Amino acid sequence: MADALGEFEQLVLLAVLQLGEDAHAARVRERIEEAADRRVTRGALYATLDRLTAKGFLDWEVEESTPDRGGIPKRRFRVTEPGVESLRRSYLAVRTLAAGLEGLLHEA
Amino acid sequence: MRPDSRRRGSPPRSGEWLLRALLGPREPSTDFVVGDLREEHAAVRARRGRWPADAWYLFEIVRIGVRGRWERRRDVTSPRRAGGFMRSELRQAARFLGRRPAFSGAIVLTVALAIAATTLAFAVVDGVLLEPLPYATPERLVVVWEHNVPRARETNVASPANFMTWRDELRSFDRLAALVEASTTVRVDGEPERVGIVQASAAFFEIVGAQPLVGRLYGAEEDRPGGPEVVVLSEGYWRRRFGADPAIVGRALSFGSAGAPEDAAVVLGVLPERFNYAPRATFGGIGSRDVWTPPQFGDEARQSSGRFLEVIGRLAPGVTVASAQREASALATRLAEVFPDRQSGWDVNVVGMRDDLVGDVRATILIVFGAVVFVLLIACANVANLLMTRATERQQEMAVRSALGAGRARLVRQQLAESLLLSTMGAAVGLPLAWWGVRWLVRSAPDLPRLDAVGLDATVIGFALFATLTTALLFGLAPALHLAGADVAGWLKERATAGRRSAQRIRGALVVAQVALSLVLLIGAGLLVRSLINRMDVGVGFDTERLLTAELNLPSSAYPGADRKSLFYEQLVERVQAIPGVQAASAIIFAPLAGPGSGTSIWAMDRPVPEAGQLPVADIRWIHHDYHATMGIRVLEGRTFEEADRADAPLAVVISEAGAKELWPNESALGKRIAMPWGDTLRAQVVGVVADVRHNGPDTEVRAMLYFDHRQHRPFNQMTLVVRTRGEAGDVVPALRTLLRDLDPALPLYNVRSMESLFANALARSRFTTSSLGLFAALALILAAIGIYGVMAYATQQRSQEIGIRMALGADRGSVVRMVVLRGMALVGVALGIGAVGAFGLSRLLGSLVFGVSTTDPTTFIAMLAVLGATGFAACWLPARRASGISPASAIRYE
Repeated sequence: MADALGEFEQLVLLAVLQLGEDAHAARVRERIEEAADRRVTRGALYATLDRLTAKGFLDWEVEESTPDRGGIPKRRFRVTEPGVESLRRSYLAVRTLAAGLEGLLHEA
Repeated sequence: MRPDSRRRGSPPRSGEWLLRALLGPREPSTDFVVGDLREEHAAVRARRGRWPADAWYLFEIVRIGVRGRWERRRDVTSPRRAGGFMRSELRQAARFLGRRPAFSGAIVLTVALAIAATTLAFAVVDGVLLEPLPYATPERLVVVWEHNVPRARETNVASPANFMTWRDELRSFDRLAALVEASTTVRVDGEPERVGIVQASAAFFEIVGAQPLVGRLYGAEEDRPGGPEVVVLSEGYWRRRFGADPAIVGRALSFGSAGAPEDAAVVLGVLPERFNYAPRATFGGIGSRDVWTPPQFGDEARQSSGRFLEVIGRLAPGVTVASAQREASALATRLAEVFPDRQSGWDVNVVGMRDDLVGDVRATILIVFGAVVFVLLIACANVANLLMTRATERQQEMAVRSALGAGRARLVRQQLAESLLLSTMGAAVGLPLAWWGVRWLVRSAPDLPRLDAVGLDATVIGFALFATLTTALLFGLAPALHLAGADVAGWLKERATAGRRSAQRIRGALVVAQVALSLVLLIGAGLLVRSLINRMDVGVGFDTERLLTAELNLPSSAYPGADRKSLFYEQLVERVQAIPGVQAASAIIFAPLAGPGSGTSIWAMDRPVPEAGQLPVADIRWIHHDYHATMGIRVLEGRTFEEADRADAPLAVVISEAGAKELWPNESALGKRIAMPWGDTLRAQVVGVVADVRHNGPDTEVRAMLYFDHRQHRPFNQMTLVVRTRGEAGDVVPALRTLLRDLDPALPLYNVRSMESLFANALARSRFTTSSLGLFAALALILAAIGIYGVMAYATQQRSQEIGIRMALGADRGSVVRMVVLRGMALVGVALGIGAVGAFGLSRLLGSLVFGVSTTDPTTFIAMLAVLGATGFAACWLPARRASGISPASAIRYE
């Protein structure tokens, strides 16, 4: 069976899905910071992106460079089918375990 | 293009190199990360400016790189880590080692011993060879010797005349001081006591930067002809004799015998112990320096060409030893032209003070240190071997964990953490051992210069830490590399054969290294043992057993005139001979092995006189006529002295064999006449030739020796009694003291020593080097044997299946033993070859330490090869025999 996803891995996959055509590393980071209200170091993000790519949950394609990038192209990330599957399983587990606790979990 | 873009505001390119270095060159995402960061860098730069943006950029690079590196080594199966450098590995290692107390204990003990020995040896190297001398401007201090060129005596004591000339004329030196150690009798509260005295120029205190502990030191005002009689006490004497009483300053001490109040000298102050410099020039010294006094050289000293002073100096600022040497040599050449009779053949030799102090022990210390480092390396190899066993056993576990996703780097780190922990524990045990060792060494080491500077200071502790880390790395490296290099997938597939083979290779290499290092040590130790035996065999030319020596000195005030002194000594010897338990007794001015004596140039009167500077030189001694009989020195020709050789008889001389051969190579010396520049020229007729005596120890050259009867010629006041006893030498000491008290209660007897202890002292350094090297070689041998045994036992165990099958197929026990032993001996053979070549290259470093044996002595080489070969054989044979006892059934079951 495939690896279970860590919490941060789930956040990264979700952010990539949310961003769609705009899923570049820097935007992924900003998005997680906004949504989760926490600091995300670039080191952790790149490491996780690489790890998820290695596991086959993420894929990327190359985009045109901009002048600020000194000619280096840009990666746009995309969640693969196994990635979505893995995310689905995690979500399912969370939802199952959270059933009946909505009252508790929704307040804040 | 690139400089332009840099000016436009690209981030520093070093960032990219750094990231590549951290993440590895083949990491595909590095480029994209750099691209992303550049983009962000542009934004940050726009907001905060260039330098903050560059700093931000580099900081982020480091964070990403470190995190990425860490990520890739991370063990995925245990994502939650306690954090901190290797903390969890260390905790795991501690747990693992704690569960195997015997395994861990053996390693910790090995490492502890090795680190203790290394630290101790380094403490000596640091204290004796590296630490600066405890004087002001130590790097400018030198010793200035006279150099007798024809006799190749580079560090000869200097004459007062030359000292004064150097002081007046040489500009390379700020200050020059002359010192000579002797002894004198001091009377405190009526009790006579023999004390060591140093005559030292006032400049000495300035040269070493001495400040008085109490009172003041003497200066130029006191150190002049006709100056006041003053002394400075050494701190040790002041504490010992006067209970550190500060009121000693201004007190008058009475020197010499009771009847000479004019010898009283005023105590000016106390010299701190660290300035209690021991000059090599000693003339009847007693080994302690209690009283310092100015020599007060006057103009008459300029005529004094006898050499007995050590001259030390401080170089003028900016002057090097080499340039001082040039100036001094030029002066020596001029002096030889002005005074050809006393100066031709004499140069000057300027030596840095530290080199002078430690010169002849440097080699000894470095060799012992080298031996210790060898032992440390061997110990590391042994520990590495033990850990290898573990690493091999662990490989399966590792393979499984790795297949489950554990990073191999983590496994390697685990191995290194264990090594680090083991070596740290070894150091924790070893350092107290080293501390204890230093204390023991300082108390018991033989005449090592600067022993007071040996201790566990910051440098030494730092070295010990360095040694610990190096050790950990050395013995952790092999198993770690083995783990890192293991082909995990293949391992699982082929059931470990490949992994075991690689482990076996590494362990074999370790054993080869161990055995080779051990052989070098064994051969070194073997050469030194043979040298020591040679030294003891050579002997000193007389019987050292049951022989007591004791010195005394007659003050001229109480015993004026040579005849009066001679009469006293004649009577004394006669009465000593009558003491019960005394077999024979006599006297000589300077006993053999007891320190330097006097020498002179000589020539044969029946031959052309050689040029000044080319004259043969002989030692010269004044003796009581029973001396040769008492000592057991054979008379080879003619006779030794007799009753009849009195003051009124013609001056007779007894010459040693070496002297006779040097002066008259192919004819008898008997009846020949010799002359020497002693006072007016002294002429004497040879009446006998006696066997040679090595006056300065068994490993010194035999020199020509002239003996005179003290009744006929007596330039000095002191004599050394030599007493051959029937029982222990020490037994007659009380009777001797009683006898002397009866004769003259004011005369102290000093330097009461047995000849055997003097002989042991003469061999002490040789014995010390030999026993330390021998000890380390033995340690190395044991460690190497354990190493061979461990490897062979393990290899045999691994192959027990194969062995079992062979035996099931009909192989007999003998062929199994042969197979195992041959495999082991192949390793030993390679090692012995390497070791022999290494020893051949390294043994010449022993140089002057070997005596009577070549450093490539084939006997020693073969003997040590045999010892190590036999040890290796035994270490192979034991596991082989065990293997031959394997029952085929059990071996096949083994998995």
